[in-house]
Amino acid sequence: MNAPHPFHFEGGRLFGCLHLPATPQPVRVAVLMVQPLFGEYVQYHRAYFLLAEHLRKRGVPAMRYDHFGTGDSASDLHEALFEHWVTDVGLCVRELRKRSGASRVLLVGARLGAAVTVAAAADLAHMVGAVLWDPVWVPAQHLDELVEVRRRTLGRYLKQPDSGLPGPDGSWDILGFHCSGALAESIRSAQPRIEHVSHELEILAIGGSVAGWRPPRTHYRVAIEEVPYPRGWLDPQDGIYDVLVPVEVLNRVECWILDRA
Amino acid sequence: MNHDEQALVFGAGARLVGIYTPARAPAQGQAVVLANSGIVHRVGAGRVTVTLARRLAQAGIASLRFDMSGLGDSVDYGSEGGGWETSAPREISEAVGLLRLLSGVHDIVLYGNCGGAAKCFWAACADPRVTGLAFTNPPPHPAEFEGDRMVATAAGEETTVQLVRLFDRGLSALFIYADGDEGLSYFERRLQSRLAPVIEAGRLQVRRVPHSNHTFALQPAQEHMMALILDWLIHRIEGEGH
Repeated sequence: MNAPHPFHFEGGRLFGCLHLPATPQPVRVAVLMVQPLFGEYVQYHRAYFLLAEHLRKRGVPAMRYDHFGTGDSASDLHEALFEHWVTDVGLCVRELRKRSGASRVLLVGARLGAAVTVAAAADLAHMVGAVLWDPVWVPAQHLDELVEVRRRTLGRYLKQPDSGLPGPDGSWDILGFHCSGALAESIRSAQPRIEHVSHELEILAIGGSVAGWRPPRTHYRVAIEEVPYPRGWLDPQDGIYDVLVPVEVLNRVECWILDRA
Repeated sequence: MNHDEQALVFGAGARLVGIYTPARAPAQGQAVVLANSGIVHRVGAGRVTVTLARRLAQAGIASLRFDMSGLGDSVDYGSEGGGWETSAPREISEAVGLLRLLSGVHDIVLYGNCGGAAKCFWAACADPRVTGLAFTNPPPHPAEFEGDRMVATAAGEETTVQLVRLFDRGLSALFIYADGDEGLSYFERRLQSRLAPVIEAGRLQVRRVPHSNHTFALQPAQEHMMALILDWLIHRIEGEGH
């Protein structure tokens, strides 16, 4: 088994990894995987890789990518805005369709990546469905949650108490990720709404925190599957960079996608 | 915008994924392989490995950061593996060969944090092309340290002897510890006296980063750690401490 194809695109601005089936074949649907952010990007990375590999082996092309200012993409996090990440989804869909030959795309987004997915969906005419994996519905609350995780985590390690306050320029240091004041504000003001999407979508909401979600409108075909799993990032016991591979979630997501591919 | 970074697939069976970052300033005559820390993929905790690679490039030092098999974007060797103690030296050696080829530089330093430092240590023992080690929070020998309790073992002694031999080979090293890290306690109680001659000769430098944790999870700690590495590398090539 060879490694996936890693590449830079958009003039080096973004980094992606393409998982193409070994035997070229006509495909209708390809899957774009929208990463979570901050520590959760690290935590979910291998799970995304495995899901993409499983789909590839079943003949479904998949592409993972790093948001602008994160991972192996260009620039630094403090130069990014939530809006950049939303716009980039469209660029990635274009790249995936070009490289895979697929006419339609399904998106997978976990945590804040699900919020980016939902925010981008209204402008994605080729999108036929989305997997929202423990989605962050209110990005402003997520930011507060990250700051609280930072306070609890550092409190366990540091001799001096950490203030947990933003810097003089309004920036936040979220466990090594430099979140500028502008980025924090763009996340706080983001209000991704699935009801803004007017075209037909199939949606799977899955994970340990989706049971209470009630889809706002009825013209989507929505499945909700509560599948609990431990999430070290939000409840740090042994370390904030525990890698997460919840097999049951991955299996269910894979089956849901294969049924629609 | 880092447009010159190059995504690569390499190694036996084309299974390893890495990013080559060329020097963006006059070449310093050395290049760095950046290994995975523990099981975190190649960007590192808080993206510190990417930031370090780009800082190195600005200082004229090319680097290759990559995922070992079974981590990040690289595929798993499965039954061919035999554990990291077997696979890490082989894969890091492949990265060393590729980096020498891409950069044209033959003075190769390995960087690793925690478990990544252990992998780099095994690789350095096996590959004489490695000339330097930059470690952050190198861990205690697992057989010798548990909590605050340290027990000397034959396995630990063998590792210490191997470490001394690396310096006898002419290799230079930098060990950086977050204040309070258990690796620092192990170094002070187990290694410091054995390595006193190489410390005195300037071939091993040991530095601390205060107000930090194991993953350098605050920006000032990350900046401090990266500045120490850059400073060491630059002075190393100038002959101070090399």
